[in-house]
Order: sequence, then structure tokens, then C-alpha cells
Amino acid sequence: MNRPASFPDLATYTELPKALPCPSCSQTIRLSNVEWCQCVTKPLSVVCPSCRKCSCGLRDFPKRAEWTCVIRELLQKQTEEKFRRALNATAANTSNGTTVLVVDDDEEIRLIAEYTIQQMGYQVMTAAGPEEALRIVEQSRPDIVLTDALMPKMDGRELCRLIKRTDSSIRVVIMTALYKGPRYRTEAISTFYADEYLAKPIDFARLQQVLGQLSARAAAA
Amino acid sequence: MTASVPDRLAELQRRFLNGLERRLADMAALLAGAADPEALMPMFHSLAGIGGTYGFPQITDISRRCEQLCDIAIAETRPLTPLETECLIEAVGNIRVAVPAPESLETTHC
Repeated sequence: MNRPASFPDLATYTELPKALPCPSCSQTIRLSNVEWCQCVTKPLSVVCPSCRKCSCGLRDFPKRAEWTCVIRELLQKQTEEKFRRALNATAANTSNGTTVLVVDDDEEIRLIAEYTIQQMGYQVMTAAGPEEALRIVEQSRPDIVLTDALMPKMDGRELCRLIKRTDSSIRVVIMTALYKGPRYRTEAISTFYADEYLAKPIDFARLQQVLGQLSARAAAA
Repeated sequence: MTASVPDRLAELQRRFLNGLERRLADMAALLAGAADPEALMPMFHSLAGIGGTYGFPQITDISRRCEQLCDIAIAETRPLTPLETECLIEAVGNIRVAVPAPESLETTHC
């Protein structure tokens, strides 16, 4: 990819630089407090605080693709490193005998959650939906259930209520990608008795922390 | 031999990226047809949750905005407007170009 000379060489950075020059007016854009463009289809485009131009709207700016691309690559690089660090850190953990049941209708989520939680040292079972989950709960009594919220046939919160009715000692974590998360979180915990709520995309460091806390609580009980 | 953590992770990421095209093709087909927001919303919702989980926050970012567009149309009990449909079609295209090629993962991100 050919980039304008004003852009930094990505190879020299391991994380997002604090500032970059605006390709339109050359003023410094501080990326620590950047205003992202709100357009639907061009995410990760920044709005320059000086000229108020957005890279996605600079029709006469021939390098706008590169500008957006630079920001995206930097963020992507940063996120992937964080992602790998979190996963690598979990690999050193040892098994503590706690069993976790992952419930999600999306196979891709089940696969990566199963792999990650195993790396954290837990025994993992998976279910593709609430009905299968309830069967496993009846038969195997997992210590913790990590369930998606939006699934066909039954909401994860309703599943939580049924699990608690079966065995109130089972800890239930509800996870969802709903952008209206705060209200959903409150309802999940106060009305449906979930022990914890996690937002998707899954933050593996946060997941490890939550599972550790719930596992300790289960052991203490 | 058991794959090392980075190897297994890259393998899962590649698997996800290989399946992404099928998801995007399904969305594109819906958008080319009835563009029913009730059908599209869960697809974008799912992708919003899964993209960042696999280390691709740009997928989550685009998908979440698309989910919101569909959600507004659903709340207003109306079909997507032509402009909204156009935005969603462009967004699906942007997801395609925003992710690395599956075969590039091993060498690019270590």
C-alpha cells in the first residue's frame, strides 16, 4: 500500500501513536481523545477537530483510503496484540476442577469460548441451545453456565431462571452483543438472577476474571 | 502433536474468516431481495458479537451500526428505506475489505 509521506511507517510502532497530522489541514489530531466519524459505512474514520473534516467525506482528498487504513491497521494491530496476550496468559493456568457450560447458538462463539476457557484451566462443555443446555444441567450439574442472551426459542435470561430453579448453586453468566446493554444488564441480574453479565465481543481478560471470582465463590459455598 | 496456543488461535481465526464470506453472501442476498430488517438484524447482531471476539473489532464496529439501522426500522415497523439498504450493502462490502485474508494470518500478526 502506498501511503502519503506524512504518515508514519507502521513498522516502527507497536501501539497507536498519540497523534497524527490531519491529511487535510495538517493540524495535529490527538488519537487519545479522537472523535470517530459516525457514518455507518466508513468506521474508524477520524474527524479533525480543527477543520472538522472527516476522512470519509474528503471527496477531493486522494489519499483518504490510506488515512482510514492507517488508523484501522494500528487499532487492529493493537487489539490483536491484546487478544493474543490475554490468550497466552491463560495458557499457563492449571486446572481447578471447575466445570463451565458454554451455551450459544453460534458455533464460532462456542469454538473459541471452549478453547479459551480450556486454556484457563476449566473443564468445558458446550450446548447449541437452551434445550440442550437444560439437559446437560440436569445430567452434569456444571459449576458455571456462560450463556448467550439472544437465542432462537428462548432468551438467555429465561434460561438463567430455569437453571436457577433447577439448582440455585449453579452460577450463570449472561453475555450479549446488544448495544443497549446497560438496561439489559440490570434486568438480567435483578429480575432473572444472573450472577454476572458480560458484553460481547468477549473480552478474554474480563472473562477470566469473572470465571475466577465465580469459581472461588462456588468453592467457598 | 498438539498445536501451540498461537497456532490454534490462528487456526480458529482462519476458520472464522473462511466462514465469514458465507455470512456476508447471505446478507448480500437478503439485501438484494426483500431487505427485511427482521431477518437482517440478527445476522448483523451475531456478527457484531463474534467479530471482536475473534480479534477483528472493525467487524463489530460496522455490524453494530448496521444492527442499529435495522433495529430502528423494526421499531418503526417499516421496511428499510432505499438509502438504508444502500448503506447496508456498502457496509457488507466494507466488512469484506476490512479483514485480512485468512492465509495471511500466520505471517502478518505474530
